[in-house]
Amino acid sequence: MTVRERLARGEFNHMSQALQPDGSLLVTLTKRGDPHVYRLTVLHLYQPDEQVLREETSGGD
Amino acid sequence: MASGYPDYEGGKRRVYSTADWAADVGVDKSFTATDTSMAFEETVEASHLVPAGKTFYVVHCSFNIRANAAANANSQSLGLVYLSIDGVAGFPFLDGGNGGGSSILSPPVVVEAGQTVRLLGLCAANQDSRMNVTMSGYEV
Repeated sequence: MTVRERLARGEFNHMSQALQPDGSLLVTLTKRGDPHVYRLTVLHLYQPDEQVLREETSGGD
Repeated sequence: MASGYPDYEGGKRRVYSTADWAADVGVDKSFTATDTSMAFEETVEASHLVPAGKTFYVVHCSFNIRANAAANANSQSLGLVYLSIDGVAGFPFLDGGNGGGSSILSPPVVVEAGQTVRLLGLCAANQDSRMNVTMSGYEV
């Protein structure tokens, strides 16, 4: 599952959003019991012209 | 336990509020947005598009705001928050305050599958400020 798919399916408990200086949105997802942190950098989230710039999964090692 | 009530097996059973139950079974959700440098009337937004087949119940909204410069720490830090659902008229929840605010929504605000709910924070302070907004609830 990609991070964007995880967001779309609601497979998380906590989401944070931080607007970046370049206008992109950094989205961080965590799920209780899951040691991973899922990050997504996106333009125009939830808009027709949405564009995913970057995805990252960290932790859980 | 008062006499006449059934034995609740020493704490193995309890009466839950729906929100407490949601946290117990892992369907609780929270959404936070942060902006570390905001001018007067700039906004920050936490948003959530409810997945297909789910309903999101917003139970709690809160925000805080403060000046970035120590020289302004004793000044008022006014902020406003607006809860809205795309395609739904009006604002189911509004709040404002000096430094922040927090409210339990009872009954919860109901957001259907395919709808986007937004908690918008507006900086109403006249100094450079940082603001956090959070909405939380459960999704089933």
